[in-house]
Amino acid sequence: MAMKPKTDETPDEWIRQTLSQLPDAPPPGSSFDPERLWAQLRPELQQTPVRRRIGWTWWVAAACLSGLIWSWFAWNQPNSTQKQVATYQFKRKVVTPAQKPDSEVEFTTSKPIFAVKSQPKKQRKYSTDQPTASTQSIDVAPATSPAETLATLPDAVTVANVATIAEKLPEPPKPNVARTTSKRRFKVMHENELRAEEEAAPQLYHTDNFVRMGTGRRESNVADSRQPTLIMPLTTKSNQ
Amino acid sequence: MSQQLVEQCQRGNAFAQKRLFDQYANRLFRVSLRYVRNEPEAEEVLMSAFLKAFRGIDAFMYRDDNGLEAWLRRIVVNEALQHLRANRHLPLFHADDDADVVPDVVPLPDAGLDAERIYALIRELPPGYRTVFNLYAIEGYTHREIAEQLRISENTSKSQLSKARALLQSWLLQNGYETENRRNA
Repeated sequence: MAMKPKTDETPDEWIRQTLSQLPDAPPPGSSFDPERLWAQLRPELQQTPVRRRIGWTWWVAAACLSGLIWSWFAWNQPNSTQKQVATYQFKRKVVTPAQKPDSEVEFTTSKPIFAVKSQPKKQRKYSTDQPTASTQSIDVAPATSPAETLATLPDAVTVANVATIAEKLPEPPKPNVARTTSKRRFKVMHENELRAEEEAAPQLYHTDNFVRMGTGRRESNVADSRQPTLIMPLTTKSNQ
Repeated sequence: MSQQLVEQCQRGNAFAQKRLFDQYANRLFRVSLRYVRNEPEAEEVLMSAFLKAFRGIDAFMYRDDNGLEAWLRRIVVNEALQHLRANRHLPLFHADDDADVVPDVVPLPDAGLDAERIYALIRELPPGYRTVFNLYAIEGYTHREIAEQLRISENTSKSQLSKARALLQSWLLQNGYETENRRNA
């Protein structure tokens, strides 16, 4: 039999109201003592915050750890789309006459790219195949000291280089080529080894495309140190 | 007043906890005693209910005093039901209970009946009747909620309720209270 909840609301409401008139005290004849119950309750309540604080500490530690792991992964993303900083570093190698050619002085300057955008056009030097790497070598006229060398640097050349970088800036960042290991294009080997290899391997190519670098005397008694060390095939293809 | 008490309890203030306990201990003890068999069990239920309340008071949103009392009452009732379930004090509901027809007329006493007497009579009810009567008539649960809590069918809950009412009425008649007939369903 289905019950209609609203029909018996009156008697239930009556009982509820009657019971709400009960005094705020234990029932008559009861031995209930709130103080005794509180005395039992209090020690258990005091344990609670300690447990909760420890739990909170563990949560914070876990959050920090996960944050560190996440940031490490984000940092090591190979194709991260980070915006390039608007300041490039230029390393200028200046050769001074007082110094030997292999002892070059390096000056590092940081300049904002957009500061030189308004230079005359005739001083700009457009180069399409210039790499976007920030290190460029510029050989300039001799100077007596590094400070003088820096002072006498031709501004046009500097501006041209900066302008080239500025033209390249809007392009998306290319994958870091410097990180990848360069392929080895040449193999330096002894002539005898090459000859042995040629004899052992089937003749898949024409040897008339090869050019021998060195003295060219095969059966001579020249010392080993004078023997050619590098043999390069002469091909018409670009070396890519 | 109670709002400040709740906020201090949320900060773990022991003094505020004691004040909140003093404010509601007797009232909630009566609630607990309506469900369980004796006072030690009622104290046990009340203690675990207060522990649960103080540990979960951070999640409580204070609106008014009635809301606070209703929240505490609900915790006590849930603890009492859990206690009954754990100690297997919940009655076995027989299959023939479902077949019982709910009586159309349930006489109830007139107003003026002593509240303490009504309270004592409710405690005298058999456990099954008492539990369903408490949940439905006093706490305001629906039969569906009672069925879920006690893991019984809705029809069993309805039949237990009507039997509880009939028994209460007969006891009240024995005690010389006047009754008036009210339609129940």
